[in-house]
Order: sequence, then structure tokens, then C-alpha cells
Amino acid sequence: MTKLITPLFLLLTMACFSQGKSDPTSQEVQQAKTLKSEYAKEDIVVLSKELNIHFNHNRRDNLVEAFKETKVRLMNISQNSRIQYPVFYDMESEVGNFELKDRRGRSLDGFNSGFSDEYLNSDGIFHGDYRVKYTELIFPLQGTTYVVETEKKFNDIKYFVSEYLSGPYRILNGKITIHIPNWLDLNLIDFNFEELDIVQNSVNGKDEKILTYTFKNIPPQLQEESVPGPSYLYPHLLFNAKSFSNNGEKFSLFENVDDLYTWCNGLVKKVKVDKTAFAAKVAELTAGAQTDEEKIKNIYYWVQDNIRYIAFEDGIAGFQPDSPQNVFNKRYGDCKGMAFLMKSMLEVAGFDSRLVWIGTDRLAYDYSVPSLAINNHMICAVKLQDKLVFLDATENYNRFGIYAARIQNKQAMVQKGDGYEIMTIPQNTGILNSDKTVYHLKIKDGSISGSAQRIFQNESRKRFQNIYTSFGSGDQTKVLSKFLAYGNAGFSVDTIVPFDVENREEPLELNYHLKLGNALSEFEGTMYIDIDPVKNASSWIFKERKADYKFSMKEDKITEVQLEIPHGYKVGFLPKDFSLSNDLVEMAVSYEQVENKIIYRKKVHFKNRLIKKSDFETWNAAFDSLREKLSQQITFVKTQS
Amino acid sequence: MNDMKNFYFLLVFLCVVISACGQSKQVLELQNQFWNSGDERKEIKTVPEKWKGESAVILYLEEYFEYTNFASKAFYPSYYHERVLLQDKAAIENFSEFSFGKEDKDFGLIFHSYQEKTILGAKIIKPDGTEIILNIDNEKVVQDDRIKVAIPNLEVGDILDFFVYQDDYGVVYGGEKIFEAHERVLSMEYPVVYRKLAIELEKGRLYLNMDSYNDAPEILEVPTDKNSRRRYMLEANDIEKSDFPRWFYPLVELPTVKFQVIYSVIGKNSDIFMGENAAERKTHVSPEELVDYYDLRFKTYKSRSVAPVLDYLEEKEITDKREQLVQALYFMRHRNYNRFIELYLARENQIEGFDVPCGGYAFIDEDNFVNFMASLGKELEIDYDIVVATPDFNGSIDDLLLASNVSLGLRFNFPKPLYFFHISSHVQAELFPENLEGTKVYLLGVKKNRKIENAEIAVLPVTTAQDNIEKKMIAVNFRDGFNSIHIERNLEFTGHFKIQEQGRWLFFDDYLNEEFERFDSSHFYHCRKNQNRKEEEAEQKLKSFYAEIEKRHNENLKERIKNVYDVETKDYAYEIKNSARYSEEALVVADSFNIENEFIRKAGPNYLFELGKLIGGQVKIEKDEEERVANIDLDFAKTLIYNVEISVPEGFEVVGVEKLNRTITNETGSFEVVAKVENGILKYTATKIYAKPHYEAAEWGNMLVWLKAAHDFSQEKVMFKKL
Repeated sequence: MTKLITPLFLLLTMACFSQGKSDPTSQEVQQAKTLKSEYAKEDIVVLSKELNIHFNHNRRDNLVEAFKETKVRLMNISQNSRIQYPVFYDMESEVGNFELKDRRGRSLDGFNSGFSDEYLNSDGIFHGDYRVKYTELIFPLQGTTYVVETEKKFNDIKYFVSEYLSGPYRILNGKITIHIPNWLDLNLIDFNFEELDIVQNSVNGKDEKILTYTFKNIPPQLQEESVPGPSYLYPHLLFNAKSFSNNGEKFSLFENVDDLYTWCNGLVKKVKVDKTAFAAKVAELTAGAQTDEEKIKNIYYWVQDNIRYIAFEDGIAGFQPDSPQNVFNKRYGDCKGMAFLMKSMLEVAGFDSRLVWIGTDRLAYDYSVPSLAINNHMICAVKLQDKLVFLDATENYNRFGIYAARIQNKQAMVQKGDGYEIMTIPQNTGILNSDKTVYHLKIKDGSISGSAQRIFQNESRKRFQNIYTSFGSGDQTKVLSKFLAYGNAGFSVDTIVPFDVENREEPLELNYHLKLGNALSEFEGTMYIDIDPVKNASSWIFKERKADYKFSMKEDKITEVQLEIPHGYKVGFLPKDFSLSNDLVEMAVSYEQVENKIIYRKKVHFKNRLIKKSDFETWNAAFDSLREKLSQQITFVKTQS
Repeated sequence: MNDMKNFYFLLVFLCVVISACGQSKQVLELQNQFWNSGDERKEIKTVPEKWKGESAVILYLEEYFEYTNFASKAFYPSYYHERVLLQDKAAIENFSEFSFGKEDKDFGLIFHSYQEKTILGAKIIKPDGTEIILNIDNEKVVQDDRIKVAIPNLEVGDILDFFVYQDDYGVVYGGEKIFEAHERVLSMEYPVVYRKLAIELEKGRLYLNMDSYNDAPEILEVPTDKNSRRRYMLEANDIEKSDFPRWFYPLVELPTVKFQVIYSVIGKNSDIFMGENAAERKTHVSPEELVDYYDLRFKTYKSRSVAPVLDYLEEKEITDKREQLVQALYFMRHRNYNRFIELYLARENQIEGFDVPCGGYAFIDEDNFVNFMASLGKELEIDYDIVVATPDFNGSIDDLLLASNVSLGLRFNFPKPLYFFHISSHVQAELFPENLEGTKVYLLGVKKNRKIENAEIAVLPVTTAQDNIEKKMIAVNFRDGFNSIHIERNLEFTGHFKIQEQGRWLFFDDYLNEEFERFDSSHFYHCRKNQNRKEEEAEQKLKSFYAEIEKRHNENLKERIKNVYDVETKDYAYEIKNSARYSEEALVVADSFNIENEFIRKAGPNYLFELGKLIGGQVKIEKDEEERVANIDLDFAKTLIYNVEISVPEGFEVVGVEKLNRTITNETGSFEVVAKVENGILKYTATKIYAKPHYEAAEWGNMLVWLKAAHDFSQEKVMFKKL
């Protein structure tokens, strides 16, 4: 307390600096105002972006180097903005020149706050080689502009996989110029160019081909949750360096998938495997198993349960698996290490098992383009009765033979003998992901209470198990009670029957008692009942969202309520049944009297994982109808005695 | 505070260099020290039955701090040793990764702090007793200045036994180094079987303040191997995991230990309360010490220092003594505080070259503020005392040990005294910080404005629920049938509510301009008659900055209203009716907004309206909160009044009004609703009173009655019946 005011005013003594006489001209101020009126929610726009890409043959290492020279003119269209301007790099790349200039092109070196250069820590990645060099830019006035010039070098073109045309800020005018020397065979594939003002041009020079992409008014990338991967959303070029020639000799890079496999599998081959480390464990796991499937399951589940997933994305280690014995001994690994351990343990058990490279559903690519960009995950496959079954050990609580939504229908590169085959991970057919609750309720002493059974199936079950076990045993009951109450202030849960959270073979059932304190009102001898304790229709309506929404799975949400009609009352009003179906969602609500009970059923079937922005209107209208339906009360009126 | 946080806490301010040489001799020595000491408590493998359902149990925890010196060099190695049984997957996740690094370096003017090395050791004890000693160098990755360690081979049922040893030293150039004060409760995120904390000091230049509180075990002096040193130790057994219920002061309720060490060459005049003799444990601060301590820091300035304030009072012809102080505070709030915030904001936005805002200086600490106010008292010939207080969340002033726990202020001795403790943007003369209310304090008497000469005990006054009022007048109209609810509110805040809400509602530039007008002063860029180009540029840039933060301020208010009602709102607008910054009047704000498709349920031709929700979310007491052993500590006694007027839509009548009425009252507080329909308007007044700021645990039952009643009311509905 004694130094109450000190921190604030100590800062006053700190040295300050200026960014020079870079005040905007009246024309710039006017331009900023005009832009702001058009893009009210944005603060910074890129007036122009020029990107030059060229290549060099590094004779010493016989590698093709890629260079990116970027010049960006940024304008503040708000009153005042402060941003960090970053350049990202990793072990395979380096940042060269990084220069700031004022609107007149005068260097601001010596005036700005300097550059920071640090590791980029991402959630879920224990260690990666991603780094960021950045500087802080303060735009004190509307219309203030800065020019940022940067250079980045990739030491090996294999790692230069893509270039996005969009960025965090709207780009009014942009131009990418790519100088492809005649000795380099480079294939470019564009993604998400549709409906954007992008013009491509190609000129053949004496020693090079010059490709230009001129683009206007590219919207900023969006920072929202549950979005599809950026490769689905934003315009970008995928670079596929096929080969290069030097003195008449041709050197393959990634000319086809064979090359990609050779490179990926080459990293695996470098790993020295010592299966003795886990041979005893395999023997223990398979000892009592009656069938091959049981043996495989035992190994698969053991790896899921006992090997912690820790992500390493460190240079070549982003592609190279750790040895299976290391992963086994440490009891942790990344997807590659876990897949390799699975494969090796299954081999010890006598199975034909293989490594599988795959791009999850975050990536919009398939194996038509052989590039390092198309894989971001590794799993394992095992042959069982002449069929390959895929095993992803990073999916905790996953059931054998069931595939996570993120890999279903995705192409995969699967080891096969000395080579590989491209396969597609099957969709789970006839498997429903569902979250269903059945309530048995009675009215007593002016409130509603009873029992409930909530059942999670498949991926819904897996999601619950993962969340539940992330809480410590001492806190789980408290957290679960709140979870089961759906945030409903009048909903209280007690007496949760013990359940087996580890079981992945059966649907997970939760049985508990509850009281609904706010669902019943009585006026003039009539009871008004809010029969659905789970009114979540409003939460599905996208109000201010701008980006497509992607669910983690297709899922059914089902609520069933069996409410006893209290003695001395009869049904006064039951709302009409409701159903609606479109390409995105199917919903049905019904009310039925069966003897002395009201049976209420609500089912919402989420048909698609992806809800496009263009479908938001349809989507919102559907859930608004459901909301309106759920606001209707049922009534019980007194019978004449 | 949980165990991992404590662990990071140990490391966070230090420059870390992990020993480069794997299992070096020192590492092996440390392993031997921690793991082969023969101490049975370090070998525990089982937990009491009562903790078998916990996520993890800490079997052994030891913290050790050593302070020695050689010439101007202070050495302060320390270690943290923990042995924990992991009983579920969540515990494994919690203990499987460690990350630490240098966050800050203590490069003060008089002390340079260094860290030679940090050594981390860990072993895993499997359920069958197998011990696996980890080579940390093999498990770590280094990212810039951060080190991350992934602990391998962890499984449910394992014991993780780890230590962190830090070898720190510093060079003292200016005669003293005050080490960081520690205040920690003994309980943690997990239950603890045995816990030990020890401090060892070399006699000579190292001084220790240390004691335990709230039924924590006593601190004992234990013999050391060296005559030149003293060691103090606290041992605790069977500690249940932390439970932090709502409205709870952990440092007051839970067993706690506080300590602080100072290295001092001269052995006195430090900025902490120093003991008489080096290496002796100081356990309390006597009134006499307080007199000496604050006398050294106390002085009144010459009259020219307070002349701007006196001139202002004279110019305004303020002659009443009390009013003189009140208005002086508001003048100083502007002149010595808020104007400097503007300058700070300018610096933050790279607006250069302005050192002071048209003259004056800022109050940079409490001593400075107190001395200035005392000087003013001297000039105005108003009697005063210095007040030494400690906020209620620290415990009683009787247990005062750390200077950092003191809130220093003044009492001006009117029949109804005025207390001044600090200055802030919205400080009010008639109120002092709520966490000092009702606390026992020392009043230090000042002789002839020169010398503090005695200390006596007093208790600070307490505001009542009638002083701190939040009153909301809420007018409700339905639009578009029942699809949209239009709400207009008139909000009034008095007492402590007012200061809190001024911070939320008032926009800095608005009240600063209000001050410039009131005190006839200027922005720093308007100091001179003729503005130069640099000043013009500063004005332009600062205005631009204000425009942007005002936008954010308004966005925050929009978000806030959504949180109050827990629904989406639309078309939010507000207006400050009375900022009330210079009087005891209420802060008055009016706002309006729309809520769509919420709070209404259809029932055939009728509609149910959740009118209870108009008072906003009320405290919901969960079942596991109903039993309570800890006392209840609120910020202040308060009254919340909601006057709600709902226009009944034409063609409908209201049913169910009478059941809204309720009165639940006892000595701890009350909740009352009075409802009626009058001229087509459904009116209700809900009043909730928290009668006191602090309650005994035994009063919790009485509090629950009206807390639950308020929550139940927030779920109430009426019916609009179709006529």
C-alpha cells in the first residue's frame, strides 16, 4: 500500500521516443475517414502490399532457397491504434531486413521501440521452433501511415509451402510477383480465389517465368472460434516444388507422391527401433486376449490411456517421429511418436501394422499435390482379417474401429510393403454421436423434481470423458452437477450415481436426481409448466458471427421429459408439435399425453459439421422457430372435485 | 494459492540458468540431501484414508530460505522440495510439465541481483517401490529465457518427488536490500500430509520479521551447525486442501505464515519494521516502534509547498475548516493526480517532450501524500493525527509485522473526523477505503507539526447500509407484441457504490475536462498562451487517442449490461446525469436498451413474464455452500433498491402480483418486495440489505434466508392474461 501511486508515475520518468514527423496529410485523413465509413469495425488497412518471391540455388548444400521481400503500407483508419507487426519464422527460415519507414519513406530506425524476437508459444504445443520477430507500431492519428519492409529466407524450398494473400488487415491493393527461374520446376495451385478480385498474369523471360497476382480489397482474416482451417477460408497459393536442374542434372524435390513418401518414410527409417523395451508390456497386454481384435484393442487402449500427448513441432522433428522405445519409456509423445509406438507394439504382437500420414480436416488439401503442407498428423493402421483398421492413439477414449470426425473421409498415405498406398479413412456409418437426457419428473410442493438419465454416445461420449477427467477427483462431482444443470439458475442436481468414466465400449450413462425450482408457476388454479429444462435454442443463433462455423462432430441432442400430471389436475393446454428440416439441421418437438403423463420429446439433429456464412439466415431462422416453440408453456388445470 | 503457483512463485523473479552439466557432483549432492537424508517424513508413500478420493496428495513439502553475507555480497540460496502422490489423470496432467524462466531482474539502483544457477531434480516412485531418478537435462527444452521440462513416465499411483534449488546472490551498494515479503496460507490446492518452512540467517547484517497466524503452528528456533547462524522453522501436519468460499479473507481465516528479510549494513532506518538485533526473529511491531518509524518519515513542508492549495481556497473564499480540507482534496485530486494521468497517457502514446502538466508534481507514495496533507493541516491550523491502519483482509493491526501491510493516512480532528488515506481519480473526502472501515488502528499524535510522539489505539468508523445505496429505477415497456422489451433505467449510487461506479461510468477525458473548467486550469498542451506546433500536435494526438478509448469505454458498458441481465441487449445508450465528484450527492446515470425474445413465455393466449429477472442476477447459494465454518467478509454494508414499473400491455391484465410480496428480515439483512398494479402499471420495489460488512460464521444461516429469498424472487413470473 505504501507505494500506491508509484508505479504509475515512475513510468513518467521513462525515456520516450517519437516516430518522427509522420503526421498524415489532409488527403490521408480524408482517405482514412472514407475507409472507416466503409469498414467501421476495422482499425488498420493495408493500402498496398508488394511481395516479391525469388529463388536461388545454394550450390554448397545443393538446396533451393526461397526469398520473400515484402513491402506493406499500413494506414490507421480509426482515431488511434496500436499493433504488433510480426514476421514469423522457424528453424528452416530466417528473417533478414526488417525496416520501418514513415509516410515519406524515411527510416524510423532509432525512433521506434525496437524489435522483439522470441519463441511463439501456442496452446497445446509443448515445444515448437516457431519464432516471431515483431515491432510495436503506434498510430497516433487517423490517417497515420507506416511502411514496413521485411525480408525472409527459406533455406530449403521444401519448407516454403504456401503464401496467403490475406492477413490480419484488409488489403486494398496487393501484388505478388514470383520469379521462377528456368532451372526450377515449381507448380502453384491457388485456393479460395473465387469471388475475389485477383488477376493472374504470366510472362516468360529469358531465364525465368514471372508470375504476378494482382489483387484488390482482400478482407481481413477473422479471429473467431470454431472456424474451418484457414486453408478452407482464405485465398492462398500452395507451392509444390517438383524439381530443379543444375548443370544439366535434375534433382527431384516433390515431383509426385512417391517423392513425398520417400522423404517422409526416410525420416522414419532413420529412427533406430528397440522393441525389447516394450516387448514384455505387449506380452502382458495380449496374454489373456482370445482374439486378434482383443489383442489389438488392448494395445490401442493402453497407448491411449498411458501415453500422454505432448506436441513437439521442432524443425525436422515436426516430421520425424521419436523412437517408439523413447515414447514408451517416457510415457509421452506427439502424434508421430504415439503412432510409431502403436505400430511397433502391434508388430511385436505379430500384426501387420503401418504408419499413416494424414492431413486432418483443418487442411483443404489432398494428395493431388505432393507437398509437406498436406500432412499435419500421423496415425497407425493395422491389418485385421485382411482389412486395415486405423488407430489414432491421440484420441483419448476412442473406441476401436471408430474414427474421429477430424480424420473421416480424409486421404491418407499408408505404408505398404516398401511403398505406400493412398487410402481414404472411412466414415463411421450407422454410428450416431448423441447426447440424450430422459427426465422422469413429478410435481410436488410447488416445484418439479425427479430423476434423469443422460446418455452420451460415441464422440459425444468421448468429449464428455475428456472434459470430465481433466478435473481432479476432488472437484469432479461439483463440476458435473453444474454441467448437468445447463447453467439454468433454478436447476439443482444431486445424488449422481457412480459411473464408469473409463468405459469406451458402451454409451456412458449418468443417473441423477434433480429439482427444477423455476419451471412451474401457478395462476388462478392453473399450472404453467416450462417442461424443457434445456432451453438452448437461442445459444445456437449466430448473432454477430462473420466466419463459417464448424462443429467438432455431427450430433443428435435429445431431450425427453416424462412428467406426471398431478392428482386433481388435467391437461389444459399442450402446444402443437413442431418439426423442421433443411440441409443443415433437423428438429422435432412433440407433446403427448400417455395415461397420467405428459411425454415431451425434443430432438435436434445437426446434419452438417460446417455451417457456411451464406447459410446463417436459414440456420438462424430454424433455431428462432425452435426458440419460439420452446417458450410455450403447457398447462394443467384443476379438475372439478 | 495452489502448490504449482507457489512453485512458480519461487522462480518467477529470478534469472534462471539450469546447470549445464547433467548429473554433476552438485546435482548428486543435492539428490543425496533431499532423498537420502534418513528423515522418515520424506519417505512417506501412503495417504490417510480420508484423502484417497483426492486428485493428488502432497506427502511432504519443504521450503527453505538461507541468507548470509560476505562484505557487500548477500547470498540467498533457497530450495523447494515436494513429494506428491498422483491419484488421477488430472493430477498427472498438472504435474507433468514445468515451465519457468526469468520474468524480471532486480536491477535496482542500490542492489544488483544475480542467480548463479537453478537445479531441478525429480524422481518417480512407482507403486511397487521402484525409484526412477530423472536426468532433467534430458527432459528439458530451452526457449529463449524459459525452460520447459516434461516429466516422463508418470502414471496414476506414482509419487513424484522433486526439488528446485536456487543459488542466488546480490551485491549491495547502498547499505540495504529488502527482500520480498512473503504472506502465505499453509493449505494448498491438494491436501498436505507434512509441511515445513525454514529460514536460516547469518548473524550480523540480516534481520528477520516472521510469525505464524490463525492457529498455524508456532515458529520455533532450532539449532544450526554453525554458531554464526540462526534457524527458524514452522512444521505443520495434516493440512486439508484449500477451500475458498465466497466472501472470504484467507489471510484472516486460514493458518498463515508471514516473513520478510532485510540485509542492512547500518541496522536501522529501513523501509521495513526492523528488529533490534540481527538474526533475531521479530514477531510484532509495538506502538513505540511505530512512533519512531513514522516519526523518521514525517515532516511538514514549508508553506510555499502548499501555497497553490491555499491560494485556491482563498480565491474561492472557503473559510469553513472542514470544507477547506474537503475542497483542498478535490483540488489536489486534480492538480496532483489526474493531470498526471493525462501526461502518462501522452507518454504511452509517444507524445514527447512534456515533463509536467503546467507545473505541480504528483504524489508518488502515501508518505508524500500524508506529509502534504499534514502541511496543509498546519497552515490551516486544523488538528490532526497520523493513522496507521491495515486493510481488513490482512488481519488485525495487533498482528502487524510487514510495513507493506500498512495503509497510512490522517485523521483531521473535527467532531465528526475526516480521514484521508490516499488519492485516486474519484477519491471522496467523506469516505475512506472500505477495507479499512471498522479496523483497529494506531493514531499517532503529532507535536507542533514536527514530531510524532505517541500512539494510541482507535477504531475507524463504519459506513452503514443507509450510506451505501444502489438505487435502480427501471421502466419497462413491451414492444412488437411481447417480442421486445424496452427498458429505461435511472441509476443512483451513493457511498462506496458511488466511487466504484464512477470508475466504471465516467470517461476520463470527460471528468478531466470538468476539472479543468472547475479549477480554471489547462491541459499540458495549453499551458502557454500561444500554442506552438508541438503542443498543437500533442493536442491532436491525445484527442485522437481519447476518441478511441471512449469507443472502448462505451463498448465495455454495453457488454456490462449484457452481463447484468445475462441476455443479449440492443440499442444501448447512456447519459451521465450527475457525476457528483465534488459532493456527497449521488452519482446519477440514465440508460436504455432493448431485450428481444427473452423473459417471456407463451401460454395459449396468455403470456408469462419473468419479471424477477429485471433485478439482475442474484447470488445463488449452491448446496455445498450451505454449511459454512468461515466468517463472512463483504466489502461494505449496502442497500440495493429496485423500483420497477412495467406498463401492462393493452388488452391484458396482470395475474399473480400478490404472491410477489414478501418480507424476510433479520439482524444480518433483509429482502423485501412490495408489489401492486396502479393505473395500468405493475409496480414493485425490491429492497435487499446487507446489514453489515462482516459476519460471524454462525450468522450464515440467517443470511441464507434472505439471500435465497432474493434469488427465488429473481426467478418469479407473473401472467399477462388476455382479456
